Amino acid sequence: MTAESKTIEESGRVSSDSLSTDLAAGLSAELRMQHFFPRGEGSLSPLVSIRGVEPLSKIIIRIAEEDDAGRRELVKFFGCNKLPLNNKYVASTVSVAGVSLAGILLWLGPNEYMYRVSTEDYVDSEVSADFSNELLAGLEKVLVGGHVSRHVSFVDVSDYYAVVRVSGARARRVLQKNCPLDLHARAFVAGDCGQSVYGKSSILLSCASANTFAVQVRISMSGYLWELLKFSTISESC
Amino acid sequence: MASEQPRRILPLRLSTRARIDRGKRIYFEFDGRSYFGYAGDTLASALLASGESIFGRSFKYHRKRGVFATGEEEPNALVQLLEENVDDGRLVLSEPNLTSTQVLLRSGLRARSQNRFPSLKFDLGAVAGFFSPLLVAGFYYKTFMYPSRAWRFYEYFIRRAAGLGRAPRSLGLPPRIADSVRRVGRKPFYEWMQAYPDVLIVGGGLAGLEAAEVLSSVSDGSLRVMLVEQDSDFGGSLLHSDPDVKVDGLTASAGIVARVSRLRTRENLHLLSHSCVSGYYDGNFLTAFEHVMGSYEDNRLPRQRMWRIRAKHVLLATGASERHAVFRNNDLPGIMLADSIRAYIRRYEVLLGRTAVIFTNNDNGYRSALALHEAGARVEIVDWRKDSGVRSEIVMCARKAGIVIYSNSGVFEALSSNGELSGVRIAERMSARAEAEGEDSFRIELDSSKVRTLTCSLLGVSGGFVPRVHLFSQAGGKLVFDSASNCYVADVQAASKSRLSSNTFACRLAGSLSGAHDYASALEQGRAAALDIANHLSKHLRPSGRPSGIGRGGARADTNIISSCEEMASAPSEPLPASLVLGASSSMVDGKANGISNTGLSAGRGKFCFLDLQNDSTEADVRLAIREGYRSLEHVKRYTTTGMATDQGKTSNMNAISVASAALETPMAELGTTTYRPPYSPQSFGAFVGAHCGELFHPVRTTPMHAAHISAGAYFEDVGDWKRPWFYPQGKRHGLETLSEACARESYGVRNSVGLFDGSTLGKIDIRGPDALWLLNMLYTNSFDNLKIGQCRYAIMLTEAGMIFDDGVTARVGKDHYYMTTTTGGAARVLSWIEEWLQTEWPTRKVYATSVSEQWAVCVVGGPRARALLAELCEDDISASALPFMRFMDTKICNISARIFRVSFSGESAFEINIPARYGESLWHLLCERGVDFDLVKYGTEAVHLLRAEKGFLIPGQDTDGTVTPYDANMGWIVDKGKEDFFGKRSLACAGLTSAGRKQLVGLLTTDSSFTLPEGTQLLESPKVSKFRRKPYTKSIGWVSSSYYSPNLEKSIALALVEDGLRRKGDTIYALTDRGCEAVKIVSSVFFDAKGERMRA
Repeated sequence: MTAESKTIEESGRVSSDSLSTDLAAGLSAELRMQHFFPRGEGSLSPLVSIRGVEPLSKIIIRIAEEDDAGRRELVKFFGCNKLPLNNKYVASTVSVAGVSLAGILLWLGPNEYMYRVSTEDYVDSEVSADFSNELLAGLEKVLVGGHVSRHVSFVDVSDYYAVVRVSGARARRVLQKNCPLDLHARAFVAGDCGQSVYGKSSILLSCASANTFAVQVRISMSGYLWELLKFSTISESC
Repeated sequence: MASEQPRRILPLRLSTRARIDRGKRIYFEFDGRSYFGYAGDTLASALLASGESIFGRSFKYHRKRGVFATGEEEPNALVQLLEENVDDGRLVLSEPNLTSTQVLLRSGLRARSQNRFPSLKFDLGAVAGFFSPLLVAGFYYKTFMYPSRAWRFYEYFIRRAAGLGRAPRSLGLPPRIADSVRRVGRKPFYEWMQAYPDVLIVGGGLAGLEAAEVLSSVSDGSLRVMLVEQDSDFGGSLLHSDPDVKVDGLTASAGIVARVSRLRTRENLHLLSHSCVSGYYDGNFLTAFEHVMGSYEDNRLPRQRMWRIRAKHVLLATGASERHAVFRNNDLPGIMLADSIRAYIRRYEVLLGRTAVIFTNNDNGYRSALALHEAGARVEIVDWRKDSGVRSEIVMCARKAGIVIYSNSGVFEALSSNGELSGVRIAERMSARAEAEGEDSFRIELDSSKVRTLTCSLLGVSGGFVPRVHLFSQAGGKLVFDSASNCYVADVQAASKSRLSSNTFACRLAGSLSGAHDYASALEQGRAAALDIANHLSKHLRPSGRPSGIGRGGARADTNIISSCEEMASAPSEPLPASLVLGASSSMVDGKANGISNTGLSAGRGKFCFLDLQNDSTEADVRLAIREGYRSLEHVKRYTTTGMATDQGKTSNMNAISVASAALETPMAELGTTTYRPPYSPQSFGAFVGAHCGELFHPVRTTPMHAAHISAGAYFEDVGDWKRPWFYPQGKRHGLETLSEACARESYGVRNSVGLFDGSTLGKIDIRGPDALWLLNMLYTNSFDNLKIGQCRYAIMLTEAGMIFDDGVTARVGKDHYYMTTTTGGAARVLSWIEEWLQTEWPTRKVYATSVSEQWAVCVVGGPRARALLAELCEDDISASALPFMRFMDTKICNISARIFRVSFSGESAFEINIPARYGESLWHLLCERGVDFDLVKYGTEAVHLLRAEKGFLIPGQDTDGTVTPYDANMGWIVDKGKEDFFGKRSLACAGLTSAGRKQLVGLLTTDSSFTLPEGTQLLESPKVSKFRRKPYTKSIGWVSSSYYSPNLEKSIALALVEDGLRRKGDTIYALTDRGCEAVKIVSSVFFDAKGERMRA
């Protein structure tokens, strides 16, 4: 764990103080984390909530479908019962460097998965950005350690993508306005995920519970996504 | 009776109080005058009740026009709305061309009529009526062709005359991301919504409602059902049915309300009213446009919502439209569709005239007559049918009520007084014998010896019913001519065999669309279709709910929902002839001399026999088009503009086909119809756009350092979707630096001290696997065999055709592990290129490529003092020996892991620091702060481009255009011909790519070293230029691809693609610029530090 400064807000997000004032006060040989979403509530409707949650540790794992031994190692490493199938995700608990974190393992393609730390745990355990590096090192050890030329790949994309949590009674409607996945309560249920678009930004959408969703987007498009989501809540206030 | 002038009597509100709530007056404005109506009214019904009869002027002749129909079929009564601009409160134009029969009355509604100047009552354009003999079909084509140069003069007037309403003005500032909160409650907006029902039912009439009832209840509600109704209320024709029709034992309207409110409680049934399904596209994708209730009162609601519906199964129950009849002056205000007259009486409680005539060819017209009679009007019926006296119960009712019936007769002319209806002239049909002499069915005529004039202020016409086959036809359904109803109907049998009923996507019909003539059969059809769909879905498809098996269990048992078998919209009728004319009088008879009907202008026949009321196209126009040689209906339609108005000929198309059929003496069945295309009725552009306007039009991609660039006052350049800092203008004595001043200062700083640049947008791909090396060797022209861990290599990629497609530096980070960078614009393209090859051609190759482009923020620090600056921040030794050129190092900056690449695009000793994006902004600030002591300058893309041009580094896409090989780019050194294979290797050996005359990348120097050539300038062999228009006498031998003034070299430099340029160094060629032909010298493309000593330092 590094010594970088963090405060835990009641919103459950890691924050840093304003960079400019901090630096103006004197040279600080510290790098601060930045936020890709505005803080606080993004929704304009009381019936839906939009919160930015970031940054979370995320790893993309590629492993061949026929590599049964490697897949067993993965299951063990991520502490899940099995690897997820088409457009599903499974819960996972990983312990590295003495920290145990809850997360999810999402199916992205036949040989492609994404591991993502769940927000709540991430905040509660005050794990550093280096958690991703620990994860990579752990995977390297279990997957590649004994098999020098195993056909696997795992890449840290923690900062590539940001996540917005959309929740509340009207969450599905807000998402359904600009996302062409079928998000009906019968069709997209807890444990489902899918890659799609919201407006014109590509997203990875997952359903945590009947009224709670996580929308993952490239950080470069996070501003667009945030504003489009916000716009889409206007008509949901009545 | 014939001479009696009808006294115009004001229409009146009836005392029946079923649907119009008299307790609630709603005030509104039309053409600047104040009116009031009641809740439940449309703009049209409220104006009619207030005594207005003129709603618009016709398009061509500017004849007075009144309301003709109800709902979307209305061709005449179009209005434009007016609204207050939210910013300054001025009244501005908003939506144009709305049918007033569909505009729901709301308090504060402001509308105005269209196509009139200065006013409805007195319209200058009406002068066109006097010139009507000139305004024949194809008038514009015929008149404005010559002389061709005069078109610009004509165009001004034609454009002014064209169109109906005016384009709306902005109702407020365009949406801005920054203040999207502020616009809430201010500017009207639109939005989209997606829906994925198992079954979409289009049309909420009896059949549609019944189908919804059945489908939403089968198998415990496992089907997701959506019912979309265009009207603001469900019920279809039940909304104006006669009082004896009972639904569930209640009056029809109360019964429907009860039914709908019961259906609304069903979780799996989505009822959507006031929403028009306007398009039926491939794969059961349909669009519907919802007019959101209350959106004018509450600006938090969108004006409209575009529904994008992807349904597994579609049930069309769109009903039928009534058809007009063709006779002289059939467009006068006071002439309406018969069923609409009944709708105004029953639904809107307005009586439109006290003396009325109903001209009908079917029983349904009698219902209108009885409704008029009941409301106190004097009614006469003109029935086209011969034996109407014995036909049915309803005729007996009419007789009993004392209504005079002229059977076996037709209306052949409407009489006007002051532009409005005053009476009709009717005549009996020719006797059977005379008709037989007419030889064919096209020439049913009226007997001129049996003419009668009836006085009336209201004429209801019912020429039969035409099923609304638009959506069915859009979906690819075939139409077939039905001689009984004299119109085209859906070919259900063909559809059942075609893709419309395939397992994946299916479409079925019910109600009067599929020929139901009474409520009982509509109900039965709705139910049968619903059960059929339920069975089909259970057999072939998994419903998108969690399925529990579908059976008939849920279908309702009782069939006595409707207690009257009243005939409804599609009552059977006896076809009217193409047009109703008097026979016998010689001038009116079709001449047969040359086999072509001798009708049209000369005889004056058909001139004011309108087909398309909105576009003013007449029977004469169609006949003229056919005399002029048009045969295809599609051509006739376009030449005469029949059916091309905003109503798309809903009430007139069948009549136009009928007239064409008569003129061509070809049966209608052989003519076919014109093509039905979406949208079914006009829709607002705003709804199509949805949220995607203003700053939400398209995503803007920003780097992690974006805020820092903004606070540094950067100007941004759009690079794809990215905003990249272009230059950072500094303040000077007067204002800010210009682009060239800033670029000069920034590039000078990089060459002489240290520069800082945001390189985060570069594409980055993690490539890993035992075959990673093999993949790189295939992708790139040079070999990666000897690249050691920790080393970097610059490389270029070619397409299979051997053309440069992307470039970048790739580093080896592990044994089978590489880190590739691409150009900013190539990031997505290169990854898809790799994926495509791996997935389609080399699925057995063991290598994975994963994009990590935005994982890393990249600070490029370059210049003579860069190493010194970085040494202060880096934990590890980054001296020239520890981190030499084309190496990278994993290190920590301020305790954060970072990877530093010692590469250079500027030609200076440069370091590209990759750090997790979350620290990008912080690192940027840190470098700026620490850089103060090193005279650090921030530089933007303009300076980057200048610096690399000085070094002759190309940018794929700027200095290449998809026709440039590495040899053309003077980069033969990067092609490893010894490699077994790589993309483009074979093509590079092609004769065409090795022959002389190819355009090659060279440097150019201008004679006047201060003059910068514009990029794109054409290059010539000789300076000879025609004095006239500066046209060169010689052909172009190339062009300038990059050009800058280099402050470091104190001269302007350019890169250019020139024919055989590499062999011609030292030659002088000419550049064609605005100031004439400039002599330029071909030189090497490397202008600065040719040996690369600075770069390697």
